[in-house]
Amino acid sequence: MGIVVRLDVMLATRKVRSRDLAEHVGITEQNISLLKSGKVKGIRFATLSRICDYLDCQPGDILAYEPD
Amino acid sequence: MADPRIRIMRVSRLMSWIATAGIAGLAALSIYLVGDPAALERLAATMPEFALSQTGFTDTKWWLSAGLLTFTLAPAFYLLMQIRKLFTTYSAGEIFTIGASDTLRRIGTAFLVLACVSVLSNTALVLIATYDNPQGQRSLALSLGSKEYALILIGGLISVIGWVMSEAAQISDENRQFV
Repeated sequence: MGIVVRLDVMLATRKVRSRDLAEHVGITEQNISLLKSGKVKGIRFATLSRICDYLDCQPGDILAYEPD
Repeated sequence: MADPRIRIMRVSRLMSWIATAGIAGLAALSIYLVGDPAALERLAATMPEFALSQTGFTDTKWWLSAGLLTFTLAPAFYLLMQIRKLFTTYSAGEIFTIGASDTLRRIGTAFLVLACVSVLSNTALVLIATYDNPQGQRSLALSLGSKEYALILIGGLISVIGWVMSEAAQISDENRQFV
């Protein structure tokens, strides 16, 4: 599996809509959707920082490593 | 100061028109030279290679010259088409794309082919002019001048830039997949 994105879990836990997060982070809703589905090659520290700021969480709450 | 991307697009649009004019000019020249049998003969008369001919500009020489002309102009056409394609791609704002770098590499290859054609066409021209001369007065020439040197250098340079741009396009593509 490798790196797994758990943004959707955090969004549900914090009861935050993707649109609101996208607006705060400054990226498109489509990119949030791609990030949630893990269909991106990487995430910039700046993006990660703004997501953590808005969801009041740590990077480890959003990203996790799962061995194959 | 203007956005560099906009400047690239604007200049590329202009260059695309210039390349289109070059294609049209080359096509017109080809039609003129092959369409009018006397035109090719007049052109041959201006070439020092044909001064070596003792039998004049025969029909066979006309056909051979027309064939040589096609052989020489084909890579030039291809080169101009690729240059036009590249500038059209740039003018559409597609700068760091795999397609644009592939076109750049093809332009480099076309310049290298042109250098080879330039050497071979000169040899062929002398052969065409003198093949029916009496024995002992036929010539075979092989020349490599500053023109060929420049073409090889430009071709090599553009090919390498094409490879570099290919790497840049891949990095740019990867960056686009970062959020």
